[in-house]
Amino acid sequence: MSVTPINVYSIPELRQTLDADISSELNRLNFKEVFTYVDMKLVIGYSIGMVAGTSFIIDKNFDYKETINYQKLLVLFYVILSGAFWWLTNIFQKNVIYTGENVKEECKVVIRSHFENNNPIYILVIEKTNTKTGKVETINANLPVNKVFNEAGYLQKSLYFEWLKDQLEMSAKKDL
Amino acid sequence: MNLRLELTRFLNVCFILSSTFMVWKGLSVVTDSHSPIVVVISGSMEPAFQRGDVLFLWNRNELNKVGDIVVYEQNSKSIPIVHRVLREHHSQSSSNSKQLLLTKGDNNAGNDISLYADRNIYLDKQNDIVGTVKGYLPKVGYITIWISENQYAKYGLMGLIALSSLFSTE
Amino acid sequence: MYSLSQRFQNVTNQALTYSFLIIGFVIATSWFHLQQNNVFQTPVAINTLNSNINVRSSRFFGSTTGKPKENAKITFDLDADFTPFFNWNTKQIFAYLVAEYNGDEKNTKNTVTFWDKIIADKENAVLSIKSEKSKYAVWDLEDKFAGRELTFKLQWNIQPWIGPLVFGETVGNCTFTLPVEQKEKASSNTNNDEATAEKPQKKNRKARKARKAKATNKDSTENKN
Repeated sequence: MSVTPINVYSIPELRQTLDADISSELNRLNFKEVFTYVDMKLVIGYSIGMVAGTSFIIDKNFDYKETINYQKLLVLFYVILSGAFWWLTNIFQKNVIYTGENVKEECKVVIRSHFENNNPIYILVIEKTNTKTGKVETINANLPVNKVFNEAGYLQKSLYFEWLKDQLEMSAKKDL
Repeated sequence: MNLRLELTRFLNVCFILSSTFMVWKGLSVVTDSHSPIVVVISGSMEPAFQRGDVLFLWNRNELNKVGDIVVYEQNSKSIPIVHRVLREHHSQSSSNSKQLLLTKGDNNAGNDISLYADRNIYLDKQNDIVGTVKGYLPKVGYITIWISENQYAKYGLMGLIALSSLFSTE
Repeated sequence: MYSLSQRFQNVTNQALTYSFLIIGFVIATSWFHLQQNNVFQTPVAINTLNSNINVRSSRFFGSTTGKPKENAKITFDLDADFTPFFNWNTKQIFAYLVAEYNGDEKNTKNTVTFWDKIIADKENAVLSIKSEKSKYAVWDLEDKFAGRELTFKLQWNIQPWIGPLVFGETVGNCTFTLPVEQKEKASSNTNNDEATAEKPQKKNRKARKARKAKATNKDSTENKN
């Protein structure tokens, strides 16, 4: 069971709890999380912060007319970096909550999650790639949230783990 | 404790602050004016503009016309003034594009000569004009007047923004 | 289904979206109304009747070097109807009578305001002005103003309740040359008038300057001592 109960009527809270927990569950299934894109997002994000900070410091300490060309450059950087960040979060890595690798079973997974129309059904799209053959397989899995949350609002991790395991194994069986 | 999670969460606070500032800077670059949006604080343009009204400026025009409402500032320390152009004089030769302007507040009896620095009797379009008023939004600027004149309001608001971004769940 | 912060966010987002829509609607309809009423083709009748020129030496009348400046005033008739300008987004009309002219010695283009008026409501929107004196005494960059050909135009600015400021010009202008002969008479007259008025001032100023100079001299000599 999770440590704190949540308001099970709030979709954002449900999603956040389920998203955050997936990493540790897959860990138990011998998956190792790959942080390439998460780190990339953090680097771009903090670069954006740095660009804005530099612009702010220049603005506060120097004359407007003398520094306008630097400011133009900084605004350009800001636009480019923000565009890259937006593309990464909203198109390329849209809804991606987990990227991981299982060395033993020689496969990689990219997991996307979302809710539709505020229905309490957690929808996972698991993209499983066999690292040996390069074969890509997409699994659509729907989880009614009342299966893993109890009435008090606690996430029952064991049930969640079992469900995830089933989804991944089902595909493995299909493989055979 | 997950460092990446904490960093991502802190990034949200960064984004709120930086986007506010950079949108302002971006506007300033696009309009070529160091303060593209101003709030009226005096009544010298009444009844057209009242205290608290928000004005949107544009400064990419090479020349001003008589009748334009401009914001000018003669040295960076002084408060910017919003007044109407009463006269303009400019050279017709293309090499010399200097334009001289005389301004007046609609609500003032006389022109602005007494307000100009260094015993000038004209403003220099190139150096003194912050921007020409293009758009108008009534009263909304009272918030900023309230914030700038009330320290507690300022810090309170900043704190509220920071807190809300910390606790927001996407 | 909702948390409090999300609900707050939704409400503010919605409020902003709707207010932008309403503002857009107001701006569009008032623009449409202006086009329909053909306000950009509003006719005007301007007639410049008279002018007089005064010579002034004050900084507030354009003289920075101490050289006298010719300050011109005019008398004019004006007829224009601004009633169609008023719609639900019109806060006021600022109507102003300008004169355009070219430089005499220098190659300049100039526009100056002689008179203006704030029209605050529809009831006072018909301007019918007879032999009105110009509000402002106008000088040029050059010391001489007489003999210049002025083209008078009535221009306007619509100050909206919200949205963009609209500027335009009425159709119909009048040209008028500031008479030179009259100026010579007038300026000689005013010269005489002002000479008497101005001399004591100048004297005073000179005396003051002299006194100042003395004082500083004293200071410096004292310092030397």
